[in-house]
Amino acid sequence: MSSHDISLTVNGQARAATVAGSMTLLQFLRESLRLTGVKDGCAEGDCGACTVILNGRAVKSCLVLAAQADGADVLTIEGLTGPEGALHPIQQAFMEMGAVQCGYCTPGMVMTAKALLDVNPTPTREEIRVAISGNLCRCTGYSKIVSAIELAARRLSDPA
Amino acid sequence: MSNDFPEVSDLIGGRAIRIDAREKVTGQAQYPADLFMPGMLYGRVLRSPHPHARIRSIDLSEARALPGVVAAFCGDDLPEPGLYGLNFADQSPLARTGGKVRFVGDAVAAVAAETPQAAEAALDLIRVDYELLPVVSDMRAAQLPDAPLVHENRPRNLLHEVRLLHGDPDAGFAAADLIIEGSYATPLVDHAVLQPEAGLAYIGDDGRVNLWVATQWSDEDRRQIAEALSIPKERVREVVTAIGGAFGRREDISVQIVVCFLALKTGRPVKLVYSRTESMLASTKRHPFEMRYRTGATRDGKLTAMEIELLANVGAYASTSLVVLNTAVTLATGAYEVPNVRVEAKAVHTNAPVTGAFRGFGSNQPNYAVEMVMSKLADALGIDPVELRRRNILRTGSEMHTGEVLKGGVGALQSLEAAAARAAELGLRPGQHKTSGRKRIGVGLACGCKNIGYSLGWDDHAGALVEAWPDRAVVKIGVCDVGQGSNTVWAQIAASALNLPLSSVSVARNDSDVVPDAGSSSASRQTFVSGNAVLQASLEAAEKLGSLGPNPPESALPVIAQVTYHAPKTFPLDTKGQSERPSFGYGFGCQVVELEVDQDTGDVRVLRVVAAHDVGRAINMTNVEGQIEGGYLMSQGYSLTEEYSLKDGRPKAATLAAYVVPTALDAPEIIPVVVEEPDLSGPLGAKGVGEMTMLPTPGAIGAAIHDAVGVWIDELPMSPERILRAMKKL
Amino acid sequence: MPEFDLLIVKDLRHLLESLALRPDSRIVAGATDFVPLVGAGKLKPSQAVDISRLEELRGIDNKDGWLRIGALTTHEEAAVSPLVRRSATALAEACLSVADPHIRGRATLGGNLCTSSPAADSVPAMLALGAELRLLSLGAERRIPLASFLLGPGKTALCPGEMLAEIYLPLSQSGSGSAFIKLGRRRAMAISVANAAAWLCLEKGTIADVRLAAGSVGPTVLRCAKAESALRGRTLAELRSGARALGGEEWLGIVREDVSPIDDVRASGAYRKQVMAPLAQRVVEKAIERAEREE
Repeated sequence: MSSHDISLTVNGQARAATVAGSMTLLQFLRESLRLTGVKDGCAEGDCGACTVILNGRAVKSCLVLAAQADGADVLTIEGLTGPEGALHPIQQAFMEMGAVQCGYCTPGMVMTAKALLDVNPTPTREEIRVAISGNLCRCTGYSKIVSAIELAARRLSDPA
Repeated sequence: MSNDFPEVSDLIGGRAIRIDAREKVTGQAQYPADLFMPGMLYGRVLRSPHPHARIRSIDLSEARALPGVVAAFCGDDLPEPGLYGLNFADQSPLARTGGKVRFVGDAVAAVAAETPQAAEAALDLIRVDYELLPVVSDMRAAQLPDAPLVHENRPRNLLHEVRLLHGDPDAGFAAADLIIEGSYATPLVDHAVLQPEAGLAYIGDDGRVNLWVATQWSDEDRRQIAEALSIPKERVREVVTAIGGAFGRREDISVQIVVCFLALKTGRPVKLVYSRTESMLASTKRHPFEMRYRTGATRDGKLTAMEIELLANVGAYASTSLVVLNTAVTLATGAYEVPNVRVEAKAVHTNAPVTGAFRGFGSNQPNYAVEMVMSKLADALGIDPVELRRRNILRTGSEMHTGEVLKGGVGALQSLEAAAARAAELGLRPGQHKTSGRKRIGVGLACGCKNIGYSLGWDDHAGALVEAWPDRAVVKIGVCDVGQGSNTVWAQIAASALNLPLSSVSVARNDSDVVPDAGSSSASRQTFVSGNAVLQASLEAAEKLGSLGPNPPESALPVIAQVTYHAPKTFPLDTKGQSERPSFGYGFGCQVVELEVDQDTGDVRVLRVVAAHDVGRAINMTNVEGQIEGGYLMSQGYSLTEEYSLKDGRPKAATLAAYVVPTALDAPEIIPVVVEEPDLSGPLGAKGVGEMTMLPTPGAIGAAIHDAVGVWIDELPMSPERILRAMKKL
Repeated sequence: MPEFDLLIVKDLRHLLESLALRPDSRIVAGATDFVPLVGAGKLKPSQAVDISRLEELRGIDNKDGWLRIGALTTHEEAAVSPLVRRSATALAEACLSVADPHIRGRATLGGNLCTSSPAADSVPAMLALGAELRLLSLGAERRIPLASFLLGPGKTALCPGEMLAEIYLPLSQSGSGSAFIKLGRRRAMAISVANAAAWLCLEKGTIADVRLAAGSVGPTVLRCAKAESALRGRTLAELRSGARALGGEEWLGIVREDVSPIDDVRASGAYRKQVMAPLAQRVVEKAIERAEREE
């Protein structure tokens, strides 16, 4: 089976590895880099728990072949948390608004929110729902997740 | 417990941030699949592709020879009898030669390998010779005398039967001005938890097996592991990790016995993680029910009699079907007082997936039927749907069909009024006949009643241990926080009782070596039972600290208080289904749903929902709202789109693409209303809320669809196809 | 996931040479169909060829009176492209209806066409718009109508060694309009239960030409030929009321005759046949509305 040398940036750090052709980015992140904050909910693109930001866009990492990520810039939930554990406003908003129950969808939701707010800093509730429409949650009914992203958007655009 | 609830602190009833939220938003929370150990092997299970077959032979030799594979086993390698099960032990962790597989997904063999790829490849090399057997796929056919037996060591496929007789139903029907009859049916549905089942087991230096797993019931896991593997329970240590949702699915054994077995046999750590498809095939589902309701009422809408038949599909193994059926019977008349009732309930085995605990535990199905009946009665009698319910709803002093007289904490009427009032404020009322293009808008309302606690005579108890210093405390309790936020509730209760800031109270990891047993996270019981245990232990610790005076010596710290709280006694049903107290408490709720139905396609879109739920007292308001919002949406999926379909015992699909759960775009605006009718036995008046929130939904949606397009849909899911058929457009 | 060989090609020539060498290769780009199919054991590629780096297969522009769309164009790119939205509105709508934003940002139109699912969403839109496909192999190329490309579920007219490079849609003329409609079991991440796309051209209040494509109602996305014939030459007034109206039982019945849907895990054939008619009516009405604005 083929193997591929890849170099990429993950959470701001340069990484190099040799990966099998059939390895997915999800497997690479979790098993090779032990970034277990990226979750495996189905490995088929149906749940969004594996969402990371690849070259600025939210993607389902289970649907990206690791070899395709050569030269890419990847941000996972671990990279969103700042130095000394400083929380990103999205993470803080999720906590405050009760958007976290079992927490399994949370990393994927947070990364999706980050990618959304990076291009659309003032989304409507409907736009938020569209943005997270590929991220399943079985616990919250989505209500508090939408409210948390709304709150984060307000805070990010008006830090005062 | 005293009648007055001290405002111990403003922590109670507020919106304290969950104490485990930080680790979840940073991705640091560890679920079992996130754990790695040196020398760890990967386990995988081979599952039956057939719904019913005898195993002639299992050949593991090729699998064992594959490079990277360390071991492969089947049931023949297990000690005898090696069975497990929650109600009784009828399920084998792996299949035996000469034994049977009884549903598609039944476990056959297991491998442990150095890499996940080798483990997966090994499964393809296991050669199983199946003798296909006739499939038992229909519950009625399963009861015929010549039906093939799912379990041959029993005389029939009928697992359990319950009869209830209360009052004089014949007289009740005679006194009725209107009698309506109908049949109702509900499907197999899957919990679809985000985190597939997973666990890691290793042998400690002391030779004990250590299991790290996401579960709902640590103590029961250990008991079943020990029994199946013929080892003493003390030789099994279980540590509960972060849990990615449960809803009943993690009450039964999934990975636990097999992964411990692999660790014991290989001497190495083994991690076993289900794939999504495997999770859908292998794990428990909600019982499909076929129901028949005959109901009599006076022209003023007073219920006079109900005759009820319930038929529940057990699937391949018993799991908790005995208790599910009992629960269904005790809640068969929903939130209403019915003076004359007859119930005949049966639970029957088929070659379907195992049905077990699922949020509601046998109450959702009858509640759907009861609410459809109430809506039909209101329509036939020309009585407002809220008023009809008002005239029959349970109150303090009501006598239930089990003979229990409700003594207090009955928030049924309050929930009804609260929901109706809030809905009215928002302009949500049936009968408005609004349209929007080819869509017709409808509004429907329904109530629900769910028992709290194990009930029916089980000694419902929980142990809690509190260690306290003047400036901090630790709560130790064997509760599985499945995402509902129980850890935070213990911290809030302890902090309040000890007069500490929340940040100074921590909750110890659920490690069976360290924490007392507190039972399962199910039956909406934890806030009540474990909450009381934590409250009592915390108050005791506070008293002990107080008696040490202002400068306690180090040697006296921490003070330790350990309490085992036993919930108020309950009693099982007698031969007529009567019991003076089947449950020590009930939760009530009422939901109003506004939706639109596309007249040409039958497509339904829910627009707004008001959900009022009586929780006794909300310890954490955000958590309670979260249960209402999440429970409603899960039940919307149950009502409209979810179905795990079988054809002759074979699932049509087992993926999250084919199993349709609601996305963020399918979720309506949900308006939670928290009703507090304190339960005097609850900690600070609190009851429970986890399951209640699913109950009113199917009935409310059914009523709303009728309001929109004039048809009653008596089967779930209320799919567009069923709606078009009922509208005679198909 | 089962293992496979992966070849990452750097340019078009490298790709065509590789395909000539190993014609049984499976091309992969967005991998949004590829990964689930391989994971479920439904696809067992001996070699997968990743073409995601071929910039020459990207881009949307006007070329010789046609709207040229590179095969690597993602659903997201097509949905937001001003050219597509104006000139091929049905395609923009269809792309927006697919899956969810994460998948739309990766899944390509070329991949959607080559997977050839009867339930594909971009395909009915492209069929109604009159798409032609440019196929390349080492040393050869051809251009064929989309209808000839789709042979059955999972089957296309690609010859061994051939790949899909570009999609051509006729540029819109005045008086034309198109629309797409989708019915799924939920509002995101839904494979169509039934979908339809319509393109038509108005001349002085009459339907000069029309194409109506339907998906999930046959072994491939298909054209509703009888329904189209019943519309050609009709005036808008006739279509709005009377026996031949779009909402009348006569035309709705003709639509149903055009489709032959099966039962599957999502819906029954009877249901699909029934709802195809109102869906067709709605999508034609929307296309008329848009065409009127362009007249």
